[in-house]
Amino acid sequence: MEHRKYVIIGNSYAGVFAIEAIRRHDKEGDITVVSRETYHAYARAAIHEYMDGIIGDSQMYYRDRDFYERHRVTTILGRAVTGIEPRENKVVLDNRQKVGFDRLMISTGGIPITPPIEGSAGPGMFTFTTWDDAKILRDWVKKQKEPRAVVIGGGLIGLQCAEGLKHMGVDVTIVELADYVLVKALDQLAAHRVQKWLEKNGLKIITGSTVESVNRVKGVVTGVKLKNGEKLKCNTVVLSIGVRPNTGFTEGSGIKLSRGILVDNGMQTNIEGIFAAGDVAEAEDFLRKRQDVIPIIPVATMQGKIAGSNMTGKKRAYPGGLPQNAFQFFGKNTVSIGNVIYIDKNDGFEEIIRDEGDVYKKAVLQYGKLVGILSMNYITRIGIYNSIIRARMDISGIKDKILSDNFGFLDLPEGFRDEMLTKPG
Amino acid sequence: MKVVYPREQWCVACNLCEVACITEHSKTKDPLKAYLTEKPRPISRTRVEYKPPLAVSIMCRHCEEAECVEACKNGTLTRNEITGRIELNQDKCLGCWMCVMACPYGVISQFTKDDRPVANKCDLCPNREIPACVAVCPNRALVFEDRG
Repeated sequence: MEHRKYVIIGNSYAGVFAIEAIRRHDKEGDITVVSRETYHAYARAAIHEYMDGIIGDSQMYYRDRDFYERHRVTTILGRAVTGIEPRENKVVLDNRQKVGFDRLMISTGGIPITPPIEGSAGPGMFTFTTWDDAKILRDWVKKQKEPRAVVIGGGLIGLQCAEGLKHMGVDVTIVELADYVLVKALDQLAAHRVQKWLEKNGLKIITGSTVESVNRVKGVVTGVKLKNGEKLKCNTVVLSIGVRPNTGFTEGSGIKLSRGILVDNGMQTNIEGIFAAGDVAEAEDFLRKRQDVIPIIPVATMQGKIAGSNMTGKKRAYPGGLPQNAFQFFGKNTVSIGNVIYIDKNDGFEEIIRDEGDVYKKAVLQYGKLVGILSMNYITRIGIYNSIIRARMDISGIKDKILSDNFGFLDLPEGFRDEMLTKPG
Repeated sequence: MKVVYPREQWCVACNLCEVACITEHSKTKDPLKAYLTEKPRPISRTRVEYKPPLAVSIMCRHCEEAECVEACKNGTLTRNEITGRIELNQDKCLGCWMCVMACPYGVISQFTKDDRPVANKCDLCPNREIPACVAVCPNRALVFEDRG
């Protein structure tokens, strides 16, 4: 095998899995990781728990301290990539240094969307996607005599940040533009339940509005004014309306973008030898059969693994991403897998709902096949639904059983069970 | 690598595998004490499904492409590069249940350790040559095999 130079931009979930996949198939090649952050790979999805002190440093590191040495990876940390020169096979760093590659993977993730809000420039405004963001926000809040925060955006990141702040004793109000929170993961009924639970735990939530301006007195944040005219007093504003793929540095490189970097089912971009994975990549959506960015951990890691493998020449195809998330607020759990929101009865969709006390479960079928599952406060064995969705099998015959608490493999066709239980996983 | 496979045609839902699993993962290694006095009471890492006339016992398959490892937020779940086994470090676990969501076999369960929510799953009994559930099964409805 030729001696290859692999360069990976980004040091998070996709990057780590790409490193592991490359080393599985190529023991000799050079691997270099470039990251604008200075940290060893860490758990980006746990920064809210780090902020409020529930977890410490040891739980934040995603891999052992000797991970890079064991995989013989050269790290260039604290450096951003500012450009790519595909004709020369080089990436350009923010100190003008150039790093050559034979195979490149872009896994630069997402960056917070920061719309121009009047008065937003200056101290007291925060975003919340990196470890440093969490540290900076924590330190700021601790300095406030009466910490009061407005979190703009009731998506997953906004709500997790709000919970973390609440645990720190901050008075928190969430402002969400949509009619309910978590619009991407939940249906309206589930979202209302989550919202009530959050309110019961002391968070204030305003829906159907957004922040129009941030008020400052001598530069210090004193409050925000909402579109609906309402005014809220606060000294801290967190902007978490969403992230967009971090692709700015690809300008002029010829790499094709849509919302994210477009990749084929080998995770390769339109330029041979350049791959992309994770929240920056736009790859096939398993259910909808079209390209989309699905910014979740299992998609990032799987894409990283497949990209890494293909970079070594060991061919692997991406089976398509399936949106899914597990999250908890103040101890209550929710899992959402696949499509639980879009339901068109004219296109073969059907929902099955079980709503008993604390537990709310919903299955969504399309032409008899399971395409989505939502479950609140009962998530035992929920992953089985993941394999049913992936198997695209007709389950209309067992519709009445699918949401029962003791639903399992014995309710499923023998052929499927055999395939699952008698063969290596 | 060797993992535990169920043979459903031989399973009679006697649940001895669950008892053996709980005992093996208890502090006292005594089934009665493990069930009655240990706090937290260990939970079985295999689960017997019983829908007469069918029965089957299911636990972690230590997948080649482990979806739990791919979903894990902070590296609590990893593959041991030497043994190939999927290991779960409860001291590190955040109880985020991404693995519970991802596992296609539904065999990662929720547990409480030192008042923290943590994931729990089959570790193939690292201190035994043959996992406790396989050793105890009276019908050879569980086998420890390499089906590569």
